[in-house]
Amino acid sequence: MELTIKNVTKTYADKTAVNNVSLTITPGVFGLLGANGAGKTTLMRIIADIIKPSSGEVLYNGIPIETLDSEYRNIFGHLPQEFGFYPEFRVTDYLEYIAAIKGLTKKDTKQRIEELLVQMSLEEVRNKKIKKLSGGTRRRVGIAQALLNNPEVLILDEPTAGLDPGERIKFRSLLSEFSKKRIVLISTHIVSDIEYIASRNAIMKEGEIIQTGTTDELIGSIDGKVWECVVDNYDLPWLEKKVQIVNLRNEASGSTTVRYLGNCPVAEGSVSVSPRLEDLYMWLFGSREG
Amino acid sequence: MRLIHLEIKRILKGPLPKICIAAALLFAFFLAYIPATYAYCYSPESGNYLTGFKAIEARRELRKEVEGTVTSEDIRGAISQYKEVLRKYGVDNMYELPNEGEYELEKIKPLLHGIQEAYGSDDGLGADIAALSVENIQDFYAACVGHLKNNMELEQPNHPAAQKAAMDLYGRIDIPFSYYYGISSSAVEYEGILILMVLLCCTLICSPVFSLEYQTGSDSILRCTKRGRKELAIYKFLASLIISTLLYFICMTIWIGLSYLFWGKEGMGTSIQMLFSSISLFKGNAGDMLVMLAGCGILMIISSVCLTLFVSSVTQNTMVSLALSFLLCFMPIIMGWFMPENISNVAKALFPSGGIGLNNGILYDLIDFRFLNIGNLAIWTPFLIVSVALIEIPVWFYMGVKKYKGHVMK
Repeated sequence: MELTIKNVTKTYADKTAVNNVSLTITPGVFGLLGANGAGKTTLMRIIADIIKPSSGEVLYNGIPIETLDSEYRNIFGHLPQEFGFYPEFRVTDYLEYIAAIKGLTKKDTKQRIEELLVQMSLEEVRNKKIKKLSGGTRRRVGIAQALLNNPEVLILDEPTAGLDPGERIKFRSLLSEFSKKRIVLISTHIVSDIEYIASRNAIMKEGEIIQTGTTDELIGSIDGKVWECVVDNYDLPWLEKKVQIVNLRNEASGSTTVRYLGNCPVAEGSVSVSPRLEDLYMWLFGSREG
Repeated sequence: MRLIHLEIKRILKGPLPKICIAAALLFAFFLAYIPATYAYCYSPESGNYLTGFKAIEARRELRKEVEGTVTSEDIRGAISQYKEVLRKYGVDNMYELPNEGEYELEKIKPLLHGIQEAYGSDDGLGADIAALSVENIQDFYAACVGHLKNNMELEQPNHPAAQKAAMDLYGRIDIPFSYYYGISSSAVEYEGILILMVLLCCTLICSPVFSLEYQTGSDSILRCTKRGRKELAIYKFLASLIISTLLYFICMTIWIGLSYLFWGKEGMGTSIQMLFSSISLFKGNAGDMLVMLAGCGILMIISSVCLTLFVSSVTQNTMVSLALSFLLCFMPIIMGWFMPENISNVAKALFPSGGIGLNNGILYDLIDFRFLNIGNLAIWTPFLIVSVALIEIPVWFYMGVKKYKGHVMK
């Protein structure tokens, strides 16, 4: 099972959204990390075959997805970043409708909907109209529809937007379990979504993949560049001007623990700490892009 | 079948389709009821005019004498009676008669219009019945044929093919005519208005079918599914057509049912030539006309809905799709406002809704003498309208499915 993105470029009149991207994605969670506007959504849509690349192709097990056509879509699940629901539909009506379009039998539909309502904690709202659901609950309905056909390839674009912390944790465990024999591609700018569950990641910037690798491989590239120190609150503005701060933690007695990025320590008492994916993200994109 | 059922359910969810369906059903009721309220008849007992259902009943009683086959003898009798009543009240024509005199002519009124037409002058003006000599009145039906021939020479002087086609069509109608009191010509016209109203409701229901998916982005989920492209497009078409057809049949059944109830079934046996013009080219009676209009109506509605769905499949926004669909549906009416009648009568047929309208409905094509003349070929416009509507059904269906299948997100 292998999804191959081969030299894909997507050009619009005024800009290149995706520039010569090549990736090979195998079972497991694959994180696509990038700032807003990096081209992640365009790349996801190309993989979902809902927009056509200007050049290049996407292959599933070596066969172009256009050739596979409905066979590809049969093993595919997609949660777009933004999408419309049918507001007057109840949750189960909507899932039943999508299941029918996915080609599930009536019996399988019933069984699968029941499973997903439990997994996505939607049992209590099963008979509620979608227009009456909160943003987070709608997102969970969106995830449920993507999982209806037990897809071999699952593409999730910013899946945790609107979910509360508890729901995010639950969602991550679900994906970890689900991705064992499947390809799960998650596009996000929220680092914590993929930090611990992604087996491989790609980082996208201005339409290009600038780094790929496992989380450890990626953060290895900034080994020795992440520092922590305790500074007096009075000195904090000075430090902010000098370095890229990743995190701040207020301490007692007017001081702050600062986690920052730099090729060498800047503040007195700085100690080198183990980098995390968030540090790499800030290293690559800076606070303005994140 | 499950997907069609679910798609029908999806389309009908929400307030707008429900309002449209309720409105269409109300139109069916009111458009059957309103023409019945137009009926009037003078009552010598009370000295007042009866209206509505009482007038219908009063006229039914009065006209019993003239019901049945219309013979030349009946025509001569009607002329004699007309002259007698005019003499009795000392007037020159029926419009000067007092109410009582008008009442005396009431029973023969259905024959008078035909007499005026058949024995009219060569310049197309109606005959002055008072000036007609009963002794000179021979075969009424031969006079009708002569009048049609004269009329076609006046209306289509440069198109002998159209003149011949009209004579051929008239040669097929049933002679002698029949008359039974019942449904009025204006009530038949209301059937055309109902078709227009149902078309309006169907357009409102169907115009967002594809464009809403594009506008909300739900399309980006649907087209990633196994059946979410060509198959879904076909099912969306079928679901929309099923809804429109069912709505039409229910409305039409209500309208025809109520018309039978209000006017009685006997009148449905009246020849169209007795209801409209004695030289109408339509072969059949009032009941046949109602069925013919209903049949043409469903064909034109299906064709128009297919066009609406095609428009929906190529527009990204529901308002644009609705506005364009309405524009196309009402184009035959709009053309009638701005174009010369002889051109708009033919050009409207290019649109699936070519025979749907107020003054330009297919009823007027069926009772009139409109032809598309191409060289030596003359096509009666009802044939043209129905043929075009029929041909356009698969065209818009195919184009709509193709457009939705190939739709690419921006």
